[in-house]
Amino acid sequence: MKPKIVPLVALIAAIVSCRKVPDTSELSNQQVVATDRDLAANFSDYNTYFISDSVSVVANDPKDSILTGALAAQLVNAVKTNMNSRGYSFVARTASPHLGLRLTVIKDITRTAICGGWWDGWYGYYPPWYWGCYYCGGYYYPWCTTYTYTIGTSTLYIFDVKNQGTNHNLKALWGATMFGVFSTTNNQTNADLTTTAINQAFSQSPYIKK
Amino acid sequence: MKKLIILLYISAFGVCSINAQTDWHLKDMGILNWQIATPLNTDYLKETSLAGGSLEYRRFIKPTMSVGIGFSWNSFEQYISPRVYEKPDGSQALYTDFIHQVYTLPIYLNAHYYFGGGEKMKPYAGIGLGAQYSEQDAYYNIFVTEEKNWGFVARPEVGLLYRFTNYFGLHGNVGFNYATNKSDAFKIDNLKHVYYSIGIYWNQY
Repeated sequence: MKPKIVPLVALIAAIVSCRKVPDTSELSNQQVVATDRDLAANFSDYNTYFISDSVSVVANDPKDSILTGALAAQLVNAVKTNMNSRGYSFVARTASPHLGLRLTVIKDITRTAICGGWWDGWYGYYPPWYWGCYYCGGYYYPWCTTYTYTIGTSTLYIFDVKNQGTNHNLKALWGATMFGVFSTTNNQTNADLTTTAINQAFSQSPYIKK
Repeated sequence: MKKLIILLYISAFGVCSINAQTDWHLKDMGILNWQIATPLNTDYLKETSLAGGSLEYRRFIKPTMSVGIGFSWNSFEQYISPRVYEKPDGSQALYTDFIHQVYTLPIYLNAHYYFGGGEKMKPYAGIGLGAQYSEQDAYYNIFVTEEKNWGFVARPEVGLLYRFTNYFGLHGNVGFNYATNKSDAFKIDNLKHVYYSIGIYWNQY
């Protein structure tokens, strides 16, 4: 009886594991963009804004805390372009801006090992001893691939500087969190992804306007 | 789909009237099917799936009635283009594209009634009742949100057996799978789909 049950259980286990693995190459590599607003805020009450030319960076390397140069300018200019198009004017920090914007980029390098089974595209591949082992149909060579990828998360906040209290506590009126896979080697690609995400964040927030 | 069910009924009862006598003995029957399924929870996904199957055992307690056990599996998947999802109060919005996936594994006891009985074809109607395990996944960028749950399942169906020999033949059926699996994350109150099966049966008597 037992020899009959074993292959039957193996067959059932194999059948029910026939779950289709999604083709994730269909997914765009664009960043996921989440925005959050203060429903009580009236964005038309503000005229001017300030954003620093440098971008804060949080990364595995503690020395890597600020982004400057062309890449930072690209990101900051994307913010400025959107703010200007909504009717706000950029002013220096010393000119008492109504709104303060802060852009931060977080790079998180992750290394992971993904181990697959026969359903991952290894149809027809069996270890050499398979053919001599009648009841060993459920066993295959394990294989693992190590992937290194970087998750990039950018945050952009708009703070109410105009109505800051005497203790200078700033209230966030709007925030955008943009996240997704980053290139491990090409920072320009990452800057382009973030630029597109910044534009999308403003696009899905039409209420930000003078 | 309605047309298909009606056609199946007509053909089934037609066969009944033509084949009044038979020496076709069914006792212990196994059925293995390839199963196509169309989801009816169209808010989450709606594409018909070709990735599915079922395996059943039926024991005939009368010439016209069987009881048994079975399970089936279906893997649904659909790409959702990038769009903005907003909370009803307008406070939050999310932009991304998704691959939505639902995997269902109903495990059930079944009972079937067989109409008449011809020499070649035997139509039937029946129901399966049991539990359904399901996983719902949303893939986006390189992330995935996954839900797993169990629910009660009911599966009324009509079908047809076509005999090649006393031991072997073809099988086809059409059914409706309703399960009470819920997911708060994906706002799913139940899972339901229509399935169309074609396969083989083998009979031991």
